[in-house]
Amino acid sequence: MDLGKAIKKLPEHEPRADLWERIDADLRADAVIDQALDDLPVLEPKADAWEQIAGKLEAEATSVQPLWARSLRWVAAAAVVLLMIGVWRVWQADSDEKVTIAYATETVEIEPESGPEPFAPAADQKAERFIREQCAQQTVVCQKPEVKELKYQLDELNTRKAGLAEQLALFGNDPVLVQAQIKIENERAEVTKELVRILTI
Amino acid sequence: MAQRLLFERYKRAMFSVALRILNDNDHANDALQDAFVEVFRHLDSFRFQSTLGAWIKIIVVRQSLRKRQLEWRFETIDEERHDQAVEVPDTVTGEALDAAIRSLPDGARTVFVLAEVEGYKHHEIAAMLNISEGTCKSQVSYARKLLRRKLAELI
Repeated sequence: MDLGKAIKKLPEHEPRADLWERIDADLRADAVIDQALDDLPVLEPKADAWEQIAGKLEAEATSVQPLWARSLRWVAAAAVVLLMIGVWRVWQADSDEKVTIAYATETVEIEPESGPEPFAPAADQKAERFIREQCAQQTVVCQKPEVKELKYQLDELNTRKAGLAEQLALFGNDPVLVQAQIKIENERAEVTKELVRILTI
Repeated sequence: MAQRLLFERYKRAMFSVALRILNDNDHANDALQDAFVEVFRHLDSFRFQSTLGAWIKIIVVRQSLRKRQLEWRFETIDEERHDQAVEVPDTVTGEALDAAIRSLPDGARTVFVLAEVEGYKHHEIAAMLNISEGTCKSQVSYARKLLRRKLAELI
C-alpha cells in the first residue's frame, strides 16, 4: 500500500470529553478580560514629576553633548556600508580567484537631526539578486541545510527590517529603533556574506 | 507654559504604560521623566505621521524597555499542570485585571500590555523586543491563560 492511501486510512481519535466545556470557559473568560481591559485604571505619576522634567530640560540646555557620542551610530552605519561593498566585490570577481576583502571604518560627520541613511540599498539588492540567481543555477547547493537555514535567517531579518522601517517612518529617529536597525543590518550583512561565500566556493 | 500643558494632558496615560511595563513605581517615574525630556527635545521633529499621543507613547515605551535592561526571559505554560477549565466571574473590574496583569511574569506581562492594552501589532512588538512574532503571539496566549487562572481565583 502506498503512503498516500495509508494516510487516508489513519484512524480518528476522540478528544477528552470535557474539551468543549474548557474551550467555552476560555472564550467566556477572554470576553470578560476584554471587557475589563476598557476599564483599566489610569495611574498617577509622582507629584513632583514635572519639576524633575523641567529641571532636567534646564540642565540639558546648559550642557554640551560630546561629539563622539552623537556620531557613534554613523560610524556603525558607515562600517555596514563598507561591509556590503566588500560583499558585492566578492561576487564581482571570478569564483576561482582568491579574493581578499579589506574592511575599514570611517567616521561620517552628519547632522544628527537628519534621518538615518538607508544602508546601501543597491548593494543589498545586488547581493540578494546574486543569491537568487545562484540558487536558480546551483539548486543542489541551495538544498544544503546550512544554505536553507541562512536563507531563512535572511528572510526573517528582512521581515524585521521592514517592520523597523515602518516604525521609523511613523515615529521618527528613535535612538532604540536606529540601534535596532543597525543591529539588523549587521546581522544581514553577516548572513549575506556567509551565503555568498558558500555559493562562490 | 505649553510644555507643562502637554505633560499634564498625557502624564497619566503615559505613566500607566510605563508602570505596567516596568512594574516598579520608581523605575516607571524615571522612564516617564526621561521620555518627556526626549519628547520636548525632539518635538520639532514630530512629523504628524501619527497622533501626538501615539508618538509620545512610543517614546515612553522605548524608555521603559531601556530602563529594564535585563535580558528578556519568556516562560511557557506547563499544559499538564494547568489543564483544568476555569470560570472567570463576569464581575471582574479594571482594578482586579490591573492587579492580575501586574502579577504576570515580566516577559508575558510586557508583551500582553503592548499587544492587548496598548494595541501594538505583533510585528511591532517583535521589533521592539528583538524577538520573533511567534514568541510574541505565544506570550500573549500564555498571559491570557495565566490571567484566566488568576481571575478565576477571585470567585
